[in-house]
Amino acid sequence: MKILVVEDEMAIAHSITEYLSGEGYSCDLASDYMHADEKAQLNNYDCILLDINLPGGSGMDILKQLKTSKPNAAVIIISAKNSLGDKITGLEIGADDYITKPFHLSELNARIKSVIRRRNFGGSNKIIFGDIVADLNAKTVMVKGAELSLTRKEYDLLIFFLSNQNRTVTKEAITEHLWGDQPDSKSLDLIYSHIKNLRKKIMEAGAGDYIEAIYGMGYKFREA
Amino acid sequence: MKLLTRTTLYFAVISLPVFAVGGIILYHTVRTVARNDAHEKLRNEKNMILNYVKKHNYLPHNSMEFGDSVGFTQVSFAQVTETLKDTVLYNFSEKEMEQNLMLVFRVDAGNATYRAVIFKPLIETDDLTNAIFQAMAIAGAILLILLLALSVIVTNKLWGPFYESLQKLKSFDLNKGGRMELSKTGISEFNELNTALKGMTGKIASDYTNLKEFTENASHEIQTPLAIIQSKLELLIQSENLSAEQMDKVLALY
Repeated sequence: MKILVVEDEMAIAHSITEYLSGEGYSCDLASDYMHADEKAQLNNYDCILLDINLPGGSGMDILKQLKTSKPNAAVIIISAKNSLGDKITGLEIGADDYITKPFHLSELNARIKSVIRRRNFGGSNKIIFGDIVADLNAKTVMVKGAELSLTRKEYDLLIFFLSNQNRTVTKEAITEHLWGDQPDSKSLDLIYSHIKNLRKKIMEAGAGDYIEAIYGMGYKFREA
Repeated sequence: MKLLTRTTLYFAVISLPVFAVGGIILYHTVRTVARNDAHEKLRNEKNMILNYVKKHNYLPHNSMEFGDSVGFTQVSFAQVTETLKDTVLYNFSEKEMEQNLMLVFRVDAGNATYRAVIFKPLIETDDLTNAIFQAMAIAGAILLILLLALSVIVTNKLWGPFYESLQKLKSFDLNKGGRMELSKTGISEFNELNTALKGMTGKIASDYTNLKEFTENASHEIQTPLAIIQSKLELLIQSENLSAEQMDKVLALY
């Protein structure tokens, strides 16, 4: 899987590539408009992470050109401009998703996976992890052949974990992923109970305990 | 309450005392005029009688030819001084008391002296009051109807541009471009109002845009370093070989 990271802040760009490389993606980096445009036109990427404010031009223009020449490329806009106008224009031109800085790398990773999965809609869309098989089209989860009955939040939480396997996912990132806002003490409690229920359901179905609590930090989804 | 309802009401309230005062003045004027008129007629009759007596040297037989009611009584000399005064007489046909003006004067016919009395009925107070009240009421009603009609016309024609501007001001939305299109009117006050509105909304829109851009830029400036810090910390969290103490510090930052 090839990903193009268009970001003029090198520190952020490197963080992203480091995180994504760990996920098995090969990442290309472009830090200004010209390079980004050139790379986007020359290569075929599975996903392009596009910053709007670039030296030498606007990411919107790259997006416009990309949508005419390569309509199949998935694009996620990364922007610090927390303005509704930008978001709407971006999505109207053809971006698949929009994420504002600052963001959690685990959230970005989950969104990239979700966008790529949506692009490969034709094939089977399943995540297999140990005894768990998650069918993203049917939105069902099977453990050892038996269907697991999950609430929506539990399902979202599991997919978020499956997208960030063997990674420490912070409670804050989980909160923002599930509820889309800044965490408070109430939402952290909610996460705790959601995780407890999810773990219980998976273990009752006969699978191992995949969710490891990292003290004070968050959780890690890994092979038991 | 609408502006025009209020102005109409004010007009009505103001016109009420005007009509009342007008009515009173009219009442007195008419009365004075009628009285002067009656007085004049009485004097004419008196002169006619005196002329007749001077010519014929006897009292007229048919007093009716000189006026409504003329009476003569023979008196001794010096008893009669000419007087004009109000009096009340009973009217047999109408069966009520009537206001009359009475002129008393001396007539010398033959060798006798007479006291002549002529009456002239005045306009009755009741009748006059009624007539004036009716006239004023009708005039007032007509004025009120005209006022209402005028207010409808004024609302639709004169104040039309004002209501149009008001409507546009109500639907003014900064997020929809924030521009107000106001048409030119034939009234300079409304033109001024529209110019002021245009200037104001234009200023608001440009201020809003500037502020929006500023907050977006500020947000960019603040969020970029935050994003760097957050992403680096997240990578740090993933590393396995941090001590518990180091991890605590990383977490405190995160």
